[in-house]
Amino acid sequence: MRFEFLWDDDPDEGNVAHIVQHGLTPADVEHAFQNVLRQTTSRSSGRPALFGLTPDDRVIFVVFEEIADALIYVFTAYATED
Amino acid sequence: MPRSAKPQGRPASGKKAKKKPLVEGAVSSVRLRELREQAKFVREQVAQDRDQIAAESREVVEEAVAAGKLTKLTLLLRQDEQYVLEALDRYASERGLRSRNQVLRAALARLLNIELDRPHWGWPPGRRRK
Repeated sequence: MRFEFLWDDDPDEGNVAHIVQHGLTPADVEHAFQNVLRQTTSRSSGRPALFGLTPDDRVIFVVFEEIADALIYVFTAYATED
Repeated sequence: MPRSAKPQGRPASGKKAKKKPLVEGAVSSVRLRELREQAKFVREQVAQDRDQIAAESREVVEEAVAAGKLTKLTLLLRQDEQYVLEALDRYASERGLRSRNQVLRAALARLLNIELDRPHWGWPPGRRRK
């Protein structure tokens, strides 16, 4: 079974526009789900989260929710180190 | 520092990520609005955890290095070689790269004539990915 991702292209409120502000693309985040370094939980929000690698080996932190069976909505994602 | 990486784990469910994006029709417009509102709140919460997340990230990288999942290359510079760092930062700034790591990847790719994944900044907001 595979994950699907709900990418909301709304230029103001969508999660695509949000991750772009952090220099990431949907492909980067989806790659991180395939290249997980650690699964964790976002401390303040209590949401599931992970540390993973982008195709160019940036370590990113992703906070998400599985909103339906195998359907992922990404709340936020950003690179955690230089 | 540059690292090489091999594909590693996946979420605990064992499900593989699928690259094809799913945009319209997956949820109702009401649900989508709910998610957008939740996202705003979650982002504010996560912002409070920046320091903790940064510390955990360093720990994650160290563990990955120790486990052989990542390789860390170290570049040592003398005190009088700070101009190297300035040049790295200038190159990054001029090309929209966000870290010295990315500059070193680009430099290695050119020097060694090898393929290295590069960052691809600038996905236009509001445009659906093909």
